[in-house]
Amino acid sequence: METELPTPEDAASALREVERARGALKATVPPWWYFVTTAAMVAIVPTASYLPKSTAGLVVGLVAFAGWTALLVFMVRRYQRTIGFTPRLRSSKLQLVASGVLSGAVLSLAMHAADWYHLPWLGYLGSGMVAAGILVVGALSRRSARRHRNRGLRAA
Amino acid sequence: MKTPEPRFDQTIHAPNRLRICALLDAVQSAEFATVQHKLDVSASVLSKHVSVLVEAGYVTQRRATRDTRQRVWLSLTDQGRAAYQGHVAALQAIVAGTLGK
Repeated sequence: METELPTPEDAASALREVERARGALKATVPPWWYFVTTAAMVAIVPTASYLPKSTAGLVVGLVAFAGWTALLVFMVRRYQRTIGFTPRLRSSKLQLVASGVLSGAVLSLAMHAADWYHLPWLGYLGSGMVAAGILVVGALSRRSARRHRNRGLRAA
Repeated sequence: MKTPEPRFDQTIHAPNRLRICALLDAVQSAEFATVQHKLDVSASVLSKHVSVLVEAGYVTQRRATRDTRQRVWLSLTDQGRAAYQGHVAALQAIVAGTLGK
């Protein structure tokens, strides 16, 4: 049996439906708590420098790091369950890697400077900057999602 | 990224199935209820079309329990993703008038 192809008009209409379906995802407003919790978790990182430089300090540090990682994994899973889908990172992979590297560099630089100059607040300044960046990204993505949602409601 | 070969797919072309594939192509996986809500279709309609896509080997279903309730997560298989992207490329070629030339 030969496949009957759609007319160019029908094909164009199908492509519009494809765009509409993909656009529906962009209207998903990410939960505010995700960004606030992530920012708080980043902001407390320099606290690690207060651990005593001994075996006990190392053990406490490792346990704290395991707890921190477990909380992060729990939060990401909770986020995915809340929004109802697991984002595909293909298109934003470069952006994610770049922001991760930049945040890591700022945090590491600030913590080294705090240690070098014996000024603990420098570490918190760096982590605070990264945390503020997370909050800004969160606010922008929530605003963008709301705009998509309102546009969709107007179109309906 | 490699441009997909235009390949018209009758299974995907049905309007609701095309929309399901379009949504699933943009994510790694999505919860059944989310797909239903985003595409504004009834659970029975979505279930019927998902069954066809599962039978074709284009979609997989994963069951997960949340708050003591079973949730179904849907995702495109590699074969499904390739078929969907080939189908979209075929639609674009039809619009451009280049399919089969």
